[in-house]
Amino acid sequence: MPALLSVDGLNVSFPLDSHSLLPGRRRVVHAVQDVRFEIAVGETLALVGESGCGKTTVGRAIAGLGKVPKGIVRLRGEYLSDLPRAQRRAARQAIQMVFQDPFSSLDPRMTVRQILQEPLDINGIGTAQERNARVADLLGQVGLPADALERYPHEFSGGQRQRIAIARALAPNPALIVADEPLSALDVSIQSQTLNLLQKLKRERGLSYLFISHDLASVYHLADRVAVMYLGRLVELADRDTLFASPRHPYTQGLLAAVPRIGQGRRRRTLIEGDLPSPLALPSGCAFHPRCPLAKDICRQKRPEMKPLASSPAQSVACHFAEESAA
Amino acid sequence: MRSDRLDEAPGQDLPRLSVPPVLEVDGLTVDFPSPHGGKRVVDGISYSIARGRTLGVVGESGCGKSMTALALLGLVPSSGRMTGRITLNGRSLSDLSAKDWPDVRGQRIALVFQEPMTALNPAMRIGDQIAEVLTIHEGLRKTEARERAIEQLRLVGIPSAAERAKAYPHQLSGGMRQRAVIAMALACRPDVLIADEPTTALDVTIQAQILELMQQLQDEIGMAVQFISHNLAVVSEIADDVIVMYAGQIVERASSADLFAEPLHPYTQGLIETLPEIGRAQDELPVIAGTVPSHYHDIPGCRFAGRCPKADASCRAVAPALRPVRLGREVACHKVS
Repeated sequence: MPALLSVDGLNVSFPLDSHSLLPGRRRVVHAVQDVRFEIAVGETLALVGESGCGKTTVGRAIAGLGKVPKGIVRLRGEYLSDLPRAQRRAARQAIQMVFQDPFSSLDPRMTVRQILQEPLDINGIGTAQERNARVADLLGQVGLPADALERYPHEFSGGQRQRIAIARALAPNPALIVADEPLSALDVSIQSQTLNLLQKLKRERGLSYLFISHDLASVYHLADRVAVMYLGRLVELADRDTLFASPRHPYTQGLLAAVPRIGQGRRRRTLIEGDLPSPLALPSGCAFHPRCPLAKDICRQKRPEMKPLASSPAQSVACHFAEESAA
Repeated sequence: MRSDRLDEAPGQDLPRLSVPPVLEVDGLTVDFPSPHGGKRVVDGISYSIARGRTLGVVGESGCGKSMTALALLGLVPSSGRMTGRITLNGRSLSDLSAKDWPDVRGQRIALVFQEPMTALNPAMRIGDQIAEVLTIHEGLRKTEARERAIEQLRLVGIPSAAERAKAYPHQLSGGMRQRAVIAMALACRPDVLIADEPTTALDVTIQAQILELMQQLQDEIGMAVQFISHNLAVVSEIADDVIVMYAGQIVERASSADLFAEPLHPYTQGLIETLPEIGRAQDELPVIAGTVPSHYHDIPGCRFAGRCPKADASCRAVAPALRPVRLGREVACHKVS
């Protein structure tokens, strides 16, 4: 499969204390460091990790929101950052975003029609008549009734609002949707409806997703490949079945073991101890070593590179003991 | 009340009904009257929890599970009206005056909320907040209370407790904050701990730590726990018994093992089937059609009938009562025999 999106050496940092007069006091949070991955046409890559690991920042960087990241982002082989402004905007149409909270991501003073039409207007897509037809069509695609067009977001439930947000993302006919925790604000029975909608759109339109989530069961359901992030860096990347069946990074192993599952009953859990360290004071060597059950001296001294396993080259792991740590 | 501790270790091996319930709720109803007809948020629910046992309460937003918790603490908003009986260790709480509530609330029945940051006072040191509980409820002197607070922080697994006691909430991580909230809730060794979505705001690895901690503390202290959550997998791992709520009513009650092995109510079945599961690849997830009706009070029959694949005319006409169907199981459904 040809790569739709490829990301290499992605870095995002946020300066703190930027008003401090003492240069020595200016600290920097390295939110994303050296992240590299590809997404193929029609593929779903899930990005998982705990709060503060940088997964949302990766999503925003790719969608062109917020700070311009360092590193290379290529869309269909073209460097996004090298494109002239006008062309970059056209290219950006191909990447749209769905946010976590449909209560804050929709303008309460716009009707559904206005919400869906805005991206078409901004990008100058179609004639007025075509736009009208397209807005109605979008609504149908996400399973909302046609009479929803003249209503306002507050008239809809959370699940319906998320459908509106998805329809808005679909409006400029994107190739890739960055979906940042699109389910976590929804009730259980609505989550599965939304997951099915995302699947259907992928099948019908050949969409690719970057699916950002902390819910590993949804990730298993939706993803073709999974990337695991810890403190700003990828620590493991593999196709879904491999990652869930034989995770090699101790963090991935711990994450999977921590997922509650029906049918286990009351159990003693194997736990990852401690908390995420402060991103301002990243641990030396491997950032996971203070919580890692396998940590040795080398882990404290040397940061492991993300590299493919000799035994299973489609699986990349950033751990000094990846070759030995089959679960 | 702490002295009546039983010799048997509380926990999963305890036979059902062998211990008198600590908490009994009978016909609890919470109404919010309004000129436009009002809303019955909790509609005649009954349950009990024995010492050392955990009751899971599951259901989607708006099903009444959190209002039930507030009712147990005498915290139903003043616009609401509560009826029914709540009994704690044989003592009725239903007619407790506002003056007497503080003896129960926070002391005999404690609450852990979903969001630890809003449950803690941001302008007060963690240790002082816990100490305050002990000075108010147990009349401890300041220095004594402060020592107990540190002990309490140690109990919930906060490292270097003496130093952390001096920290403000924003200086702790989410997991540490929730540990502090649990430390505070358990400071007076309550008989009942109500945990309302206590791990929902936490990451999975931290969630696992907190669940482990709650089980361990329950084994030590022996309190009854009412664990409210929309997350079925979490409930399946922590609860002994489960009630499933829908539109203000209990629709199914069973032991956790029975409920998750063989759910009987179509709503429970739907909730479980609809969950994606690691290791089970599916093209499409089963769904529960539609959404929870917002005006369920006008529905004469079963409130779930509009979304139920098995519903027929009789379901829409007559509301099913919660009734025993086999040993230890109750279901409110005409279609279960």
